[in-house]
Amino acid sequence: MRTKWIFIIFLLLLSGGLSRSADTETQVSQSLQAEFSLAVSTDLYIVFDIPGQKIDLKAKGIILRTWKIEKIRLWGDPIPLNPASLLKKSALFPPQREDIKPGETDQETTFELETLELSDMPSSYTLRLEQNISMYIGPQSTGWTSFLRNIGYSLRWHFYPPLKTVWTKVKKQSFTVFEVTLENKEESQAFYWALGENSPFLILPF
Amino acid sequence: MRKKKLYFSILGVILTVFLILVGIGYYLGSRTQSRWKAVLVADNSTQAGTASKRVDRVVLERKIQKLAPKGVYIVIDSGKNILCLRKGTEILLRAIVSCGSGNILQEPGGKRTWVFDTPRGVFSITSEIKDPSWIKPDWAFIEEAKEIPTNPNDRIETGVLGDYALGFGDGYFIHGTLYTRLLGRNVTHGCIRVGDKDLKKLFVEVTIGTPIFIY
Repeated sequence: MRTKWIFIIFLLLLSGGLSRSADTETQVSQSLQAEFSLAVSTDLYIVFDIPGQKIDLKAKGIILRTWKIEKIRLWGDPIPLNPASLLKKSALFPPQREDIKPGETDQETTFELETLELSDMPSSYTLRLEQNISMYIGPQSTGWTSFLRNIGYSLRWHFYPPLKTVWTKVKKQSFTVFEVTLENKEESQAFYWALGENSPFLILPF
Repeated sequence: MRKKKLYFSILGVILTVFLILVGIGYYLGSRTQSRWKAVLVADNSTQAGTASKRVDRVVLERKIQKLAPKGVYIVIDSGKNILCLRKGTEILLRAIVSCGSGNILQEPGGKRTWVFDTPRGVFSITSEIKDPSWIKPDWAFIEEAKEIPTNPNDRIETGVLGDYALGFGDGYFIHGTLYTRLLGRNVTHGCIRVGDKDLKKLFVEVTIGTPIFIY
């Protein structure tokens, strides 16, 4: 009798393991299929790997640059494993390009540079993607302003997504939002820099 | 006193409606959260078994691997101004370079505008030149508030691009520089400036067709 029960439990455990394994295999092949289509058709693309806690900038299947995700929160509708293009980058203080005035002193000889550099990029910004996906990107807050910033981010996270959910349900649209914390200010700025117009994103949810 | 009461009542109603909406949002949000996994399970039920999925995965992984360059390739981080010559995952050369300034030049009284960005994307080396001369484009004269010459020979300037230049299309080059102190800064008109030693090594290692990835 005991042997019979042990056998049944063993079979149950095995079937559970196999179904989990089938789940994983399906997810992996779906994500690979989506990545292959991107790698063939586009130049640079972003793989937003939630379980791996990282963002990869890739081209032709090669990883060009990786950003480590320190924290991530998500809200809203599930996303299909289809690439979504970046529609807009917005920041409170977006970088400004300088206009060259013809005939002015050569900057290179005076070493007074007025150019657009990595340090001019914002560290906290919002990305709007296709399929009504939003991403709040920012660094881990440090210093004396971190307390105030965290309150601001917390209020935004706890009020905006629920309200937007109500609005999108009324309009029968999908809505997904991510809050992504990167390692530090420099990493966050570098990610902003690396995002080109219409950069395709592949989001791997599980 | 009555006015104050009225204001407080209006404020109370607004706040209550706001909180009710947030509450509804939370309720709807919690329902959609549980759908994340449900969608995947539904997807799986229509799929074939694990073994065939594994085969699919291996095939796809191989297909993606085949897209990667076989030999050496160049990766340029235009924000950090770093150029890497790679073979597979191995880094053969890491050089500090100068990339585009991102500045804008408007032709006075004209319709033309130039944005001095280094282009991003996937490119390949299209030309290899020893002792290159710079054929100055129109913007170089406009920037210096000089007249654009009609004689093509007046556009030629020697000794400013270093010993070698590697073209990658649309007039963009990886070349040497006189302003070595500015390596590591975004100062160029879109080309990529490299120090003499690194440029020589790069010139030896690459050939026409070598892929360049710029971000």
